Amino acid sequence: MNVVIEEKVTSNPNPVTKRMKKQAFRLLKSKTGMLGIIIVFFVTLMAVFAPVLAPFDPAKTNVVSRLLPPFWMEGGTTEYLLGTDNLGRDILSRIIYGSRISLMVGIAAVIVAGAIGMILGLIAGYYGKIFDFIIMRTVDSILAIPTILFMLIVLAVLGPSIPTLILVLGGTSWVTYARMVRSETLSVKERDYVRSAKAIGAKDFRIITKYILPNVISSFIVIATLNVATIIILEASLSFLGLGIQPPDVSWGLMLSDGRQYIATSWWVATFPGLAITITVLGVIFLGDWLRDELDPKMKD
Amino acid sequence: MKYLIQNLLKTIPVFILISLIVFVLVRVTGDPVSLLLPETATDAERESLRESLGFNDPLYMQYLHYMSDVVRGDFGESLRYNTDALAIILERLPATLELAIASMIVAILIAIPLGILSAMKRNTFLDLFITGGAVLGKAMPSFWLGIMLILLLSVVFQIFPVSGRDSLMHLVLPAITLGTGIAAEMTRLIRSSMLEILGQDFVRTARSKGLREAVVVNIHAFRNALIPVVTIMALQTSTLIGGTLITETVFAWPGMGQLLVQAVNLRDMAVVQAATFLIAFFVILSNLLADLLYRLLDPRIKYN
Amino acid sequence: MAATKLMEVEDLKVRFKTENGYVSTVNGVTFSILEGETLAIVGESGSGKSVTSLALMGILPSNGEVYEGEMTFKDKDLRKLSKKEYRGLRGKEISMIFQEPMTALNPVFTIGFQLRETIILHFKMKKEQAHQRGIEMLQLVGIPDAEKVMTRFPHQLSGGMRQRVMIAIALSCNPSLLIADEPTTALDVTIQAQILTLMRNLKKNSNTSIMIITHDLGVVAEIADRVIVMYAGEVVEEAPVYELFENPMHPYTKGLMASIPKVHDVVDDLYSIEGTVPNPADMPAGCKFHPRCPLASAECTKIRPELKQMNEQHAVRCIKV
Repeated sequence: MNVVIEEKVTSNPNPVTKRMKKQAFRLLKSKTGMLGIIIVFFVTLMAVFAPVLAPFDPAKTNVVSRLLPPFWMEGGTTEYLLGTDNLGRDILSRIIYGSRISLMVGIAAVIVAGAIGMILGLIAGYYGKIFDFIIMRTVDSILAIPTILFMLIVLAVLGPSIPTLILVLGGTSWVTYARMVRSETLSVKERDYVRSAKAIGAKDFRIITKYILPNVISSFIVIATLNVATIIILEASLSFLGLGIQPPDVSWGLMLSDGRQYIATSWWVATFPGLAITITVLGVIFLGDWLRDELDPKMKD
Repeated sequence: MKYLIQNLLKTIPVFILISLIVFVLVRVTGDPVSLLLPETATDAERESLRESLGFNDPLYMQYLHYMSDVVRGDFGESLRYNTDALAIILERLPATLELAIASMIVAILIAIPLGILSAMKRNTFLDLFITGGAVLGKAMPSFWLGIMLILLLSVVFQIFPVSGRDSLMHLVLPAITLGTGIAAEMTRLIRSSMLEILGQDFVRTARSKGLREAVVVNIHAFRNALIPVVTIMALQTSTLIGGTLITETVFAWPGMGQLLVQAVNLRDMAVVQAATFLIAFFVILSNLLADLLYRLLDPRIKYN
Repeated sequence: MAATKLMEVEDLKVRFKTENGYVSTVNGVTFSILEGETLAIVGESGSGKSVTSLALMGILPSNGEVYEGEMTFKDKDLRKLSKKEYRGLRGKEISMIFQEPMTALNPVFTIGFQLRETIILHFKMKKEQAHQRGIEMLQLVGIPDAEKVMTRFPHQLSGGMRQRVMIAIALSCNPSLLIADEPTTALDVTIQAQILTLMRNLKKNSNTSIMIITHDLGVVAEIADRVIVMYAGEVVEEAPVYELFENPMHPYTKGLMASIPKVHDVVDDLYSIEGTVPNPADMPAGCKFHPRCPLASAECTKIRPELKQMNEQHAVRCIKV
């Protein structure tokens, strides 16, 4: 309904309302960056101070208080603000602890992916030839297998654990970095000042650190930030499928998988952890978009 | 035609690499013998099985044997079903294709009108509303969206069934779940592609002819905007198939994805391998198809 | 003047919405186009000449608007037309060709499609009839193998051929007015001459008026009957083409004339006007040309000159004449 009303305002030729609309729009737009920063800040706080903030031990089961609804519903208590799950565990505490896994896995995997992608992208772009061929065909192959399937196979073979999870998530996400670094390297390599540096005998290492890395770094930060969002969702998906985080560790994806069973009777078990994922990912995306606008104007659409 | 053959040839190294990746993952890191034999088997029994399966050969010989099996479509027998792995997968394939195609249709129906609209109404509240929706669609994990749809439309309102695949009604929720994520990405792409095209000279020419704005946008601009969108969407095939793994699990949709998740949990490697190759085949096929489509949409390429 | 006025533009003002408020690029332009004449509008880039033509066509970019003045075409007030009525005019009564033939045609449709489209739209013809008319139009603009060219895509034709196609499209509905925005600028010199000859010949055989926008006085001499010189969104001089070349009055026009190389002169340095067209957001006070004018005095920085009628056909905006 709103949409129709906005349409009318748009066609209103009155320049004053038009100008106000434009200002309001820009304010809103810059606000998403702010919102992103605030969300990420709060999730980080939650992760760092989880033991202080959480009212209960997230793994503590309590058969008596199984599937209690949130406090505002009939049967809910203020003791368990967001209710309890099928084993009587406090959902709020589990969400607070879950932020630890999400952020830790997300950031660690991005570091792994970024490191692999940066190195392989530089090799492919800078040395070219057979290196480029092998690396780029590997990229094609990885893109031909759905990420989630690739990770499932590896986790099935190696068995799920947090370090494996991080390595697998990082080991499949590096392609984006590699492609960007490669194409950037290719273009920088051909610039006159790099050619002349080469001609006077500058070492490869120096050319890479002095000329190529500075050109790559802002795109790299933007990709890395947005990649954290993707990885948080992937981790949740794997945990949801039973191949990610294993109990007694707490993960939002794992909570959702429990919640799926009880959706007909206890909606809150699945709803709140999903909301936590969505809000966190939204925050990271907003932050990434804002960084892109600030750091890397050429990546704007 | 020559081009097609060239492209087909280019996929060969990709297939070989995929086979290597799968081979390394399955043969080298796991011990299939311990999976095939009961826990009580003696060392001698293990050794003889290992010998007869060729696990004592050098790795490259094992790989060659493995490849000759793969090329003939022989991925071995499923541990769980005790029949040919590929046959089990193929049996489940139609359900997955049905879901994938339905999701793609949902995505296209959402993304094309919204993408065009937000480009035309750039920097208005409508645009903000649509791009905001697209970001939200990207941020929501599909399995959560699926569960929420079940909660709202199956539990509370009881319009659609919770799970299974008995009627067209069963298809609706899984297709929306999977389609929304794809639509989010597609809307963003169409918007930015349209924005670029709408600033081009030929759009002004079209307007100067006296064409209606709808014709200018939906025919002259959109045909051009579609070219990059098609290419990038082809890369989403992999995401789409990956998405079926999760969506099928949420809705107990009896397709390849659900089977695959079960197989992975049971370490039923024959099934996992067969499915991986099949999926990679589909992804590569769709990339080729996208390339052909790209040529069809952009006449400039054919003759250069 | 016996001829009737086809288009009358009265005190036209156009502005654009930018990040920092409105910027006016056309500041009260008045002129008219007579039936059957070729009017040239001359000026540097940034003088507002292209914007004027887009305003006449009603296809200003979405952030631009005509905020004052009148545009009358065949007794119709263009500013009062509905969108639908305007569309009926565009491409039929008034049509336009653009500077860049390389990008002005849609790359994904055939020449035939792009020609037929206009004909079908305005003449309500069937596809076959429109196709036939399209072929005739291509032959008219001197394209050999017209039938084959109908099935071609723009990228398969040379720049000159594409501009001929643009002209064919523009003329396909027998417009009363053809607006040509720098139609030869992007072309090779030899092709430029061909296109100008083509336009001249086409005009001889029809009663179409042409409004040609250019920065090239060579083109003006080649084709125009009457000339308007624009500077910073205003008309600074208006005269028949011979009169203007014989007796340019405005210092800006004189500067433009002096910057044309003449075949018989041997010059070391080609004259050029110092400086650039002022930014529309930051116009000088008084005469807008004074910062670049060799004759400028203290007066010029204060008084905004009016367009003075020197004789029946010659007008100039300068206090020094």
